[in-house]
Amino acid sequence: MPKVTLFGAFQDMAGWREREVEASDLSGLIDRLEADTPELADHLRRTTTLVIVGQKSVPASERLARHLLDATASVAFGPPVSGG
Amino acid sequence: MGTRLQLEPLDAASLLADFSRDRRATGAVVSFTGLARDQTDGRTVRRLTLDAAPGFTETVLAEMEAEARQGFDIQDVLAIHRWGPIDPGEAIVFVAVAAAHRRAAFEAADFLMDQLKTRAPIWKKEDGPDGSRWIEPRAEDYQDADRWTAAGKTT
Repeated sequence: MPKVTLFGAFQDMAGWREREVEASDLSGLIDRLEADTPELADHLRRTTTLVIVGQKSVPASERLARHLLDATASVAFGPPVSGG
Repeated sequence: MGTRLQLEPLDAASLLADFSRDRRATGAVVSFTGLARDQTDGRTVRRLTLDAAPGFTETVLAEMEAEARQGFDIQDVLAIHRWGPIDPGEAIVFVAVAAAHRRAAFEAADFLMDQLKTRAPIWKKEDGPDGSRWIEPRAEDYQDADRWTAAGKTT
């Protein structure tokens, strides 16, 4: 199953940082997360949310397309960044 | 010299000395050190904790360095960002740029800091007597970064 990691405030909202989630594509994975963790529901589809699959950021314009995930995929979500 | 994430404390003076050494073709070295404050918006801060996405964050830092090298007439870059727990007064970030002339060095350092504030996958949490809170990016940070996009300096 794909492994999901939450960064920043998202991990506090959800109450967990890493979890395996059954899904075969990104949109389905977000659906599953929103159902399992309602605290994240308003956040994961925002264009300002950082979505990382493997080591690549997925632009907001590509998140609704069928973005396939294999069983070893790693997917991460983070709120707008605040470094520096 | 590159970019990196670092858990250990940053010694800005030592980093700057090393970066500046043996640069006979360099006319300007500009450096910036960001420090952790003990106050934000009137709230006491006892500790910062920076979250990052190891692997991915370094990739984005390297992209920023490449953009700086492409967009400005500079010779070298060093950018180091801390992550993990940081006490007030400690350095969070260190950026140094070497160039033949000062203007490019100033601008590239400014560019790199604006990119670090708005694009680097790093999240900052403040802990104090009033509890913990994750820092939200400020509108000014995006406005600062947009200057470079408008100037064609980002890819």
